[in-house]
Amino acid sequence: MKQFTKSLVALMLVFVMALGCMSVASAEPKHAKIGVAFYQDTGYAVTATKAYLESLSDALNVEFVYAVLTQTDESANLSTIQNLISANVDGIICTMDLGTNSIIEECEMAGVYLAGYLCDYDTSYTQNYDRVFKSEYFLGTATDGQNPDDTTIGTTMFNSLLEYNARAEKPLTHVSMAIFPVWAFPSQMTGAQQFVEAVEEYNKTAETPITVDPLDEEVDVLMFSPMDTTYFAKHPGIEGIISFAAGTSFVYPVMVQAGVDKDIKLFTTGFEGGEENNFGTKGTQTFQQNMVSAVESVTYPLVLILNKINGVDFPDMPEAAERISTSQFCINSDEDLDVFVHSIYYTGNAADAMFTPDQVLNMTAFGNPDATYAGLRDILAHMTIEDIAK
Amino acid sequence: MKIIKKTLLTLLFPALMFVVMLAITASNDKCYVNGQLIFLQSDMPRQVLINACMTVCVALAIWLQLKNGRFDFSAGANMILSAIVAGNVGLQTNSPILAMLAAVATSVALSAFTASMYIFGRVPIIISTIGATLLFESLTYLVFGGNGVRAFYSTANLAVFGRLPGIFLPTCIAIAAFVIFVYFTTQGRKGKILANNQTAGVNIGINEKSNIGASYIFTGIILGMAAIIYVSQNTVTPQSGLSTSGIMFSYIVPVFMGMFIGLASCDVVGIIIAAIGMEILNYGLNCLNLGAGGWQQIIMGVFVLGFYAFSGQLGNIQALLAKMKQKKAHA
Repeated sequence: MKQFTKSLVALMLVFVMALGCMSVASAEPKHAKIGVAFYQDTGYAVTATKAYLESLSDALNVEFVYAVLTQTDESANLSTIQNLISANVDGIICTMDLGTNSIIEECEMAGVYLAGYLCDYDTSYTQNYDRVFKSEYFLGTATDGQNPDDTTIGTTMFNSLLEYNARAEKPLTHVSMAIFPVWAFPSQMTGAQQFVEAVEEYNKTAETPITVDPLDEEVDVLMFSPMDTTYFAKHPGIEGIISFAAGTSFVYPVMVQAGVDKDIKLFTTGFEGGEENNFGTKGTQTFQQNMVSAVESVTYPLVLILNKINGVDFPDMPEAAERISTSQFCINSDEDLDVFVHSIYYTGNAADAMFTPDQVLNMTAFGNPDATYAGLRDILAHMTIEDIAK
Repeated sequence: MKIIKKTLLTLLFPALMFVVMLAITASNDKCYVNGQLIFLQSDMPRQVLINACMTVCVALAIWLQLKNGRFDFSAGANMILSAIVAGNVGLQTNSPILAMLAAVATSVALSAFTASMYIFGRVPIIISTIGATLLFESLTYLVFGGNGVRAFYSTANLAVFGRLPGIFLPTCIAIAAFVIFVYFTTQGRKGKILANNQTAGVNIGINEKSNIGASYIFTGIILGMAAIIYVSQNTVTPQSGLSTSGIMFSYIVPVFMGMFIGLASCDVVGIIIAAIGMEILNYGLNCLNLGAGGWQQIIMGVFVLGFYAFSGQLGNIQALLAKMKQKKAHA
């Protein structure tokens, strides 16, 4: 009898546990491990992205592991991804389109999902669309700003210049440009052409026309190394530099070294810290525009990967993976900067993020049956300076 | 008369460099803007001086150890780590002087660590300096949140030691430290013997350990000066995988050239003159848009190789000239 009671108790226990497991499975997301491969190992964007992701890990039941890719070595990137796969990740968020063909093959074999962040996957998009974007395991990417076929940066830069001229005592009438090579960033060349067209259009009616030095293939194209010190001698008389290339790293140090940072204004992209001291009306007043992508755009690849892991899809999920333009923070005044310093990008504090963990859970198909893909895309389009909570 | 000859011989290298680059840039359309040759504008001497000051500091630090028979791989890592400490101290205290003191203190402490590893650990110099490099590099990821230094160089009142004329102060201190150690301390003088033949030097009673200790302290001071200039001109990010050696090696060319140019005077002067000459070459290449990338490397490489080959064969060339003279005399 005693034996029977024991068995009964044990059986009931098993039953209760099984029930418990079932109920957990339906309410809570499956545990997932996601690898995040960054393009560098330090910096504001990396710190902020990590802080944001970690803040989501409890609500979404995700564990994150991090890795660093190289910007030049395909095989090194492949082995970084292989290491992540060996570490048993279920999905990978990747920031570099280098060696993607072999990476996607590896992911397909291991059954690991891949999605992009801060990367337009332009090489894959233009040359290997079928292999990459139609792969079952490539889920899409959130571009760092606008897609190359959807460039608006030239117009944005021009508008910032006009805004500056409207408030400045001495408006800028002579500017030059700087871009990265076309083979790497075709959108910057397009942006530069856009800018020149906008200026030409403006000059037709303007009282004081603006001169743009024509793009000099040799001087103005930065080969991923700091601008030549002779840039300023070759563009005599300029009052501003419109740098589509990451001017904070590649133009500004040279300006400081050449001692022209007090005389020439810089309109550029890429916030790395320290610019705020010389921004707008502060310090040397060198920086008059800066643009960065919100780190919250990592939500797009994260949600897509988690949906797959949990086996639930958006009802309106497109057939082939997409690359999505993200709106950027365009900081072009003291007021904008004051707002920007309250974003997670600047503070690295997850409490300053645009979305709470619950909001992100609500964007997923498994956390909210009514969530849609169109909704997720729409959220990405609303990450401008106005959307930062003050 | 002898002094004039020596001065002329010493100045020959940068003067030749200037003339050659002037001829090349003057014959190239790319170097003219609005009809003016950009190589001859006031920007040139300033860039050359600023870059040469940085080069001189690192080159002296490398040469000081080399002169004493050791090659120190950790110089680059030491400089980067000191620069990060100095930059953050400067940003927090808003004082360039304190930043410079922090750079020197850190750099001397790190140098003393490398030296003690060599002296007390009895580890071969290559292993101990590479070990120190790896250790210092890992520390760059740990100190000050692993963020390096970003805003120091762009804050005008902090970065005085990276611009003219402030940059001359650390450079002069570095040169003074080198001169004092090499010419005015016993340890420095003994170093010459150690460099020529370490075993023989130790056998005749030179205490190698005290030489190491003293030389590393002075190297630390010089590297501290290099660090304050570096952080006043660049964003400093954490480094890994011996990449700091790459930073160090980018300044090594004037060391070997300086030895040769210094034959006419002394090694310090040689290194300074070599640094100025190389920066003139660099500026000229910049004017031609060859200042970075593959072509710059090739031109520099070929030039340096040719220079070394010439200096190596100098004895033979002199002998040949002497022979020709003799023949002429006979005829």
